[in-house]
Amino acid sequence: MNQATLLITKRSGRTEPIDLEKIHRVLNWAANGLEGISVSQVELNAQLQFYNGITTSEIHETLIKSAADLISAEIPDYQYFAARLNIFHLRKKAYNQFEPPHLRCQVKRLVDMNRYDKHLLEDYSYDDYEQMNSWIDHSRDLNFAYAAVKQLEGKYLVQDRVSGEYFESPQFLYMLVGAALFAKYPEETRLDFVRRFYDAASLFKLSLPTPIMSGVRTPTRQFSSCVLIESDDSLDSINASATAIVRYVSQRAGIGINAGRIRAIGSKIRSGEAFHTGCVPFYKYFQSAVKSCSQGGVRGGAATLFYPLWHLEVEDLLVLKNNRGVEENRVRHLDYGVQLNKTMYQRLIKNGHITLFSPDEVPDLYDAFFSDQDEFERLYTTYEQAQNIRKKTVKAVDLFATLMQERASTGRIYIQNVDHCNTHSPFNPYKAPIRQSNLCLEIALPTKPLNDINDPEGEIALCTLAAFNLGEIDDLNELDELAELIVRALDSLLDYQNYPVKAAENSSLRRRTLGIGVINYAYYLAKNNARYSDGSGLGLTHRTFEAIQYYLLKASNTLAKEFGACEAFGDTTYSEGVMPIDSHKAEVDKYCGEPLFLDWDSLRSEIVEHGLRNSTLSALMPSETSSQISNATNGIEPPRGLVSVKSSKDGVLKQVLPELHRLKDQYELLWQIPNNTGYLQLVGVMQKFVDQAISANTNYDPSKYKDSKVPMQQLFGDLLLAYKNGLKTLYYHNTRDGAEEKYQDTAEVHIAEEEGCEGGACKI
Amino acid sequence: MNYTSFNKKKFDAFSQPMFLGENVNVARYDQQRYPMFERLIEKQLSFFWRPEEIDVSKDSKDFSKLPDHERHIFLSNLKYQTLLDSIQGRSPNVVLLPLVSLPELETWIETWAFSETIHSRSYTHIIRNIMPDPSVIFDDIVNNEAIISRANSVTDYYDDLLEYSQVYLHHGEGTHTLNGKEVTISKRELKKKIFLTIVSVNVLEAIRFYCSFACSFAFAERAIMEGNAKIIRLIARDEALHLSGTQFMINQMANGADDPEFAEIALETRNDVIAIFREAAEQEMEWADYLFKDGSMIGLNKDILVQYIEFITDSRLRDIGYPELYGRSSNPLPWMDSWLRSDSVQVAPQETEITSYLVGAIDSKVDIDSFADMEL
Repeated sequence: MNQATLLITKRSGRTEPIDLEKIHRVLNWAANGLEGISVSQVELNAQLQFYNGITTSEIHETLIKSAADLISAEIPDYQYFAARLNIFHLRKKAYNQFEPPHLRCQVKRLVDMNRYDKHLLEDYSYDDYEQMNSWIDHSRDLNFAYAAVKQLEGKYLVQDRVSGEYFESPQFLYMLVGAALFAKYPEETRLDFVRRFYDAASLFKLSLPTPIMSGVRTPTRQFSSCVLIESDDSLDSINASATAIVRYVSQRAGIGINAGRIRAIGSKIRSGEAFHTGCVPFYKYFQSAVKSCSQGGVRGGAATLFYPLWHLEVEDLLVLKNNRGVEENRVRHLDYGVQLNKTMYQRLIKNGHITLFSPDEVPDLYDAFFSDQDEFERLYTTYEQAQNIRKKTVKAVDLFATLMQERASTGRIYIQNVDHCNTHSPFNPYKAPIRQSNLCLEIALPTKPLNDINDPEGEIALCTLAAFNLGEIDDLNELDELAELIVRALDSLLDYQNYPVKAAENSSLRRRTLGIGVINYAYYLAKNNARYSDGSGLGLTHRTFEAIQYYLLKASNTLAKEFGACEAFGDTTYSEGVMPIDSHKAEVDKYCGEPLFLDWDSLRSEIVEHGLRNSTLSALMPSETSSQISNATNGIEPPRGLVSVKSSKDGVLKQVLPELHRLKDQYELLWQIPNNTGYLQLVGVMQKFVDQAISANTNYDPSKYKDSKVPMQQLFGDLLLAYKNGLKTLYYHNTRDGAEEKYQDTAEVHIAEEEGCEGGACKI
Repeated sequence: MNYTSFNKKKFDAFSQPMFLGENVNVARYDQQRYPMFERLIEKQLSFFWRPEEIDVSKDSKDFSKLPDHERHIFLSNLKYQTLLDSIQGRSPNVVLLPLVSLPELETWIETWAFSETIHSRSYTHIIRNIMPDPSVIFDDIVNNEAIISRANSVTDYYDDLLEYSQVYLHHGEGTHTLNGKEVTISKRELKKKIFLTIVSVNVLEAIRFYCSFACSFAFAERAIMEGNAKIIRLIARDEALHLSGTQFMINQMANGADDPEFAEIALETRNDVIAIFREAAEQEMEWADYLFKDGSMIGLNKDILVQYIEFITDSRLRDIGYPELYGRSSNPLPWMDSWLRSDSVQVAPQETEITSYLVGAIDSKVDIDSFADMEL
């Protein structure tokens, strides 16, 4: 295309010849201080896509995309270059200029537009705003990587999704989240907290979840990422659960549904007057409820539904997600959590049988499944002998084989070890049994079914999440300060937010449960010369998670001294002086001999005396989206490539591993790890300290096995190992599928060469 | 030689060529001349998916906001892909199967064609979702000049081979008078037609499809029409497999190991093959002109799509041992790679369906007693 004649369309609609000098200036500004950037390459790649009449905004977007395409393992700095161009573009869109306005002008303008919460203006004075404005460092916007800016743009920044307008830039977001959360703190201390929180968040030491980043400071006041809803076996309760699901899905939350109590097909209704249709129609009903709202375009509605392995209908339930079958007998858009306990595993390894029951016929068995393992074992064997109870006996190995086959083929059938969830729990299982987990399997909180949507006796569990960025932590003592900031911030959030259902408000305010996890663990390992597969990370992980849990408890204990312990503190095992280090699986200490370094005994006595403000503090979530903001590796997961290509609602984004050049040989990539053993041991160590659960994945590369088939023996072995190491839950089952294009001229992702086929585009 | 649905002769399956040997009899896969086909079949079966797994409801909202020229790009592509898959769901079975003499190749062709029917079903799934009246789209496929002119060159080779092979199967070699016309049939000529048909199928799957894929993914690169892109991505995964099938056949024929006569034919049709590639590339370039006639979109316009066609044509030619036509060795659409491979794709939990799972790649043998002493 001949640039001399290229006309561009200005915002006003006027056309004029393109001014290449302007483009050069912006590109040179963005390249400042970065390594290996070729401004000319970016321009050349972009110009092909220019056309006559292109708008300035489109030119800018084309330049950004062109820069983003150049992101590679060789020149990772393109991710900062593209990000800066994008920030420049964003600020132009939001402010019509690059320089952001004064904080108070910004707040005033957006409150007037009803896009910020008006309390921001009422709660803070002119002087306060002057202070806060002086702390804001807009140059931190330039620390974002490209994937982060795209996520901010897509999900977090206040915008009009219909018209495509933007109204803020990232530093305002961080400062105002802090300001909103600490508004009710005493005036003499709050600005100090706001400043410390702003620094920790905007320097990426703390990672905040999607609902907080996108919602706090706006008139929306529902920020719990995770909601756990339990249904009873009655129509009223099923309807109430569906209503609760719709209310929370519309407010951007991910849902865990416990439907395990619903009776099996063919059960009697009203003493045999009618014949029960079974679980599938009700699961479909829940699916419709989940899919009824698109969560305001922020996230798609999603839920995981839980049931026990010994449910009479289990053989039909396990296949609900697969591709065989027809619409009538499949409920594909939910994920499933299958609940197991030691009795089930015992039957498997002894090559015995599992007896299936309809929960309504054995209600005490269903209760004991969660609250009392010895009682469960006793009742289970008793009912197996009972004559007048409907039951079915299947070979344990066949049932487990179906479970693992379905987990493998869909990737989205999860495991919950309900005994570990209750015996290594911050809750006393007799007072507050844990009967389900959440969407991503990192939450383990008590629930009670609702009989109608306003039922104050029911209990919907909410969990408010955030994470430490391990990559930004140089000394474990830093966790002391960071734990205090994040526990204070999330605890304030509980009072700041609205609760669309009474049963959720009651339980949240009584228990005040938090789930604080980590991101960037893979970078942390690499940085400390440790690996997933060979045990070299065990001691480090033990020390790190000990410190995390210790300082979180300490922070919550400090809050209890200031504001009082949470009302339901008596339901926790903490109140009895039981710490996670007292109830964990002893197996962990067999393979990890690391001692404890912190003074747990004084903490224990402080907690027994003053209590905790929060019933739970930790949970390790997958954090895919929010870790992109900090350019961190995802949660505790190993990276897939040196440059990862991530697909999300915002399309496909390239992300380069932190400090790639220095640590290239230290990183252990997912498909280089020979098996799941090392990972499952590390997760066992984490679970020793974490009081809720961990989203842990298992990964399989068929090409490593004979005939490219993963042996069932291996799947069983890993499932049993996970149990043995004390894991409460297993999340994704990932399979490497080998479909790949051979025209990979950018060498951006490490791919182990498989035996090549004779020139096919796929490797067989 | 008539086609028979069950050949009662006894013969050594290892001595049979891919085409025009003995008709196949027992569908057995324990002994195979080309395990490659078995691997392709296994892979294709494990890829099994259905369009209903992908949520396309957001696409309909996106579509309603697209400017007219982008709608034109999007719909024209869908129409063209629908046409291509209609042909591919049918023709390999009808045309090639009666000529095949290896059970593994027979099954591969059936498996391959079946997967194309899933693709056709996908287009219906997408179109039904974005258009209040899907007929508008489907009816236009046979009316639209730009599409029909390309269809002809795709179907000509199939139709020509079909006609010739039917005469061959009914009347055998020699000169026959049919409907008052004299026709001369030779096995060698038939082989030549088989070879060129497979080349044209390769072109269809290796170049024509990829041109459409580029457009679908270009939309999704801007975070719109992503349900469509996810489906197309699954389709692309299948097509990569089909493409290796036809490339394998072409390479086997050309090296003479399968049937020495095919090696001679490959040599003497060298220019014809290159012409088939050139013609297809030029048609796709005209198509690019048609697609962008009312305007471009960010990331893709006529020039850049033409460059991509040149790049992909060159690399496909290299794969089957032919010289490049355009000398374009670097990919002008590097972002396409992200869509065409699933190895490095991480997925935000629940927010998007995982498109990388395999069905049934499990070895179900279990020795449960080995766990008996495990301490839980």
